[in-house]
Amino acid sequence: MDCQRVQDEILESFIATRPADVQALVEAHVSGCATCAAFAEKQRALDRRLSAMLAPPPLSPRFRAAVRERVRHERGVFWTDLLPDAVHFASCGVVTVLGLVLLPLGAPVVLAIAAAGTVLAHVVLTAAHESLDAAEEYN
Amino acid sequence: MAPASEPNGVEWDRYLSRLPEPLRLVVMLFYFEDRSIGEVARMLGVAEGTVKSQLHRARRALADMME
Repeated sequence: MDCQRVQDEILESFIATRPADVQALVEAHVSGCATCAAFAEKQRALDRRLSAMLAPPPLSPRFRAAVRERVRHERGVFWTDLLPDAVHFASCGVVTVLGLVLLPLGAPVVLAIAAAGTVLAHVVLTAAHESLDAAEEYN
Repeated sequence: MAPASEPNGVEWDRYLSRLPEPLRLVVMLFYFEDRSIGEVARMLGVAEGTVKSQLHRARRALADMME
């Protein structure tokens, strides 16, 4: 292999995987040719710089959480944020009305059970939201 | 010899602007947009071998500029 062919192979190796036998011939040539060794080193340096340029910058683990908090703060509260709570309370209202109509219990008992159930479900829903937000921040 | 410092975005712009247009285009597509050789060839309407040889020429030129 002459120097021109070796240098073409070196360039090609940065674009696609080369056959092992070709790679071995290139390495054998480079180990005894200062010109091609310098050429290979220049190309490796170029590759490192390209990689450094294209790599995403390192971010602290808290960065994403801080950005999310900032976005939340800047955009205020949208109606879509309130939708799960609205659906929750509407569902509880429907269940309460059905309970009053269908259950063989007095209205005060049904209303007390419905209120307790609504509060309990809301606590569980809020806890689930917070767990999901925390899990997202760590991803 | 001390290693050259890593080029920043502005310096990369300068290096790339010194490449002839066809070479700059394949570098942008292959490295900066992470397209495959086949995709670049299809996008530019040229043979894959042409894209490879343009990348070779671009790499030689960029490596020389960064010396």
